[in-house]
Amino acid sequence: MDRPTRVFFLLIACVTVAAIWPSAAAAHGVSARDADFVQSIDGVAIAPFLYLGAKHMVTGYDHLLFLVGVIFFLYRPKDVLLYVSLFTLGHSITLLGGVLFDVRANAHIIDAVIGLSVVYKAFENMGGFERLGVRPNTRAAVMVFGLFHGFGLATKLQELALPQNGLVTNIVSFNIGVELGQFLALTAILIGLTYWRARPGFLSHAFATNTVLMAGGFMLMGYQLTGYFVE
Amino acid sequence: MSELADRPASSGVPSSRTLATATAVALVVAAVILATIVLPAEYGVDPLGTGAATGLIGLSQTQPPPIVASESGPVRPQPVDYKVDTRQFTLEPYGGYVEYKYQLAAGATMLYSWTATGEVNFDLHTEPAGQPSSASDSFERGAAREGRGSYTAPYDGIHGWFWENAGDDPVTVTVTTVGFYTAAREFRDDGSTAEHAIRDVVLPPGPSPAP
Repeated sequence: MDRPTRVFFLLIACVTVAAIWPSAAAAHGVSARDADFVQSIDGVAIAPFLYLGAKHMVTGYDHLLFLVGVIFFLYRPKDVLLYVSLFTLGHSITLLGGVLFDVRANAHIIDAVIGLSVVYKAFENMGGFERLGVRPNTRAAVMVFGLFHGFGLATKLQELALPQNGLVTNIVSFNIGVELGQFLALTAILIGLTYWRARPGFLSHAFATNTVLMAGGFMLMGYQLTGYFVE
Repeated sequence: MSELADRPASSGVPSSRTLATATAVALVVAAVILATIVLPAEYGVDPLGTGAATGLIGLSQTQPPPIVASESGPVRPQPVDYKVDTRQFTLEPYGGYVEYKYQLAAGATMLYSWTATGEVNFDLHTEPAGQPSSASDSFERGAAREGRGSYTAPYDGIHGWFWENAGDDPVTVTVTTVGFYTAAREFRDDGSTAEHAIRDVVLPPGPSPAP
């Protein structure tokens, strides 16, 4: 593909992302109705928290964009399992630890770092680090960004003023729900990627796709940083 | 490190120029979409005026819900004219008290304001019509020198205050209300009970309506 064509595809793809962006942005977070429900709970509520965790992951475009970046070039199930496990370990530590020990952080800053994680992974997939001649440890990066994703989940839950009664069971339920939702989302992403990889255009479009991913990450960062200064 | 866990070699390493261009395109596209669409819609930040031009900025502005006239809406018609009442009580020190309550039908509202010359214990409570005194509900209690607000009776009965002076100086309580009550009843610490006639509101003079 020559350069003008490549840039053209980039723009088309970016506009597509833009088209779905506003509705996706409005959809994320914990909805007001769910929030009211959570605040009305007093005691253990396993199924509702499982559901909320899964829903948060499946509708959480920031987590999904990062996952797409992580498994974009992972062909072997063993590698998918390894990297997803690292991500899961990272976000579980901070989700459970953040809520149970009441570690608080500004949600906008955490979400901006999550946006940065998407930019980072996209840049890596584009061969950016190879061009720069550096080889950051990809496993460590996934693990560390996983810590931030979990902290992001924790800040969302902390905004809800969770009842202390049954807190541990409820948070663990939420965490397991997150993993169930992640499994569902990963399955869908893997099916799509596997189908796409089998087609001749995959590698030639990989660069453009990751550029779109990067644009999405930049948007998340700008969105959250503006929120930090405006709110 | 497993090679297969990395980018396939066949996907190639981009030239510095391609990499820089792609990164710049991603950055510019993100900035343009943010400035023209996301920031106006989410925060009302509208640097280029696109939010106002497209109406997206409306998403960031919370609008009050439309007012609809209905039974559950803001309008509550009342069967009787409202009345105005002002009353003053002197409470003796060391436990002197008075109870002053209004006859309100279910759904009838009153506005109230009371002040005391010293701190008093108060209890805004009810006596439901035709019920034993144990059916009383207490809606607000505490110790204060004043109180004000609105009250809508949840059921027929008498609704009002118990004021008690726990201090060692006499206290004067003055209460003023306006509402859709029909009578008021006073109970004193000496066991006396008094019914109070409530005057009708004297409307300001003006052109009388055509017959």
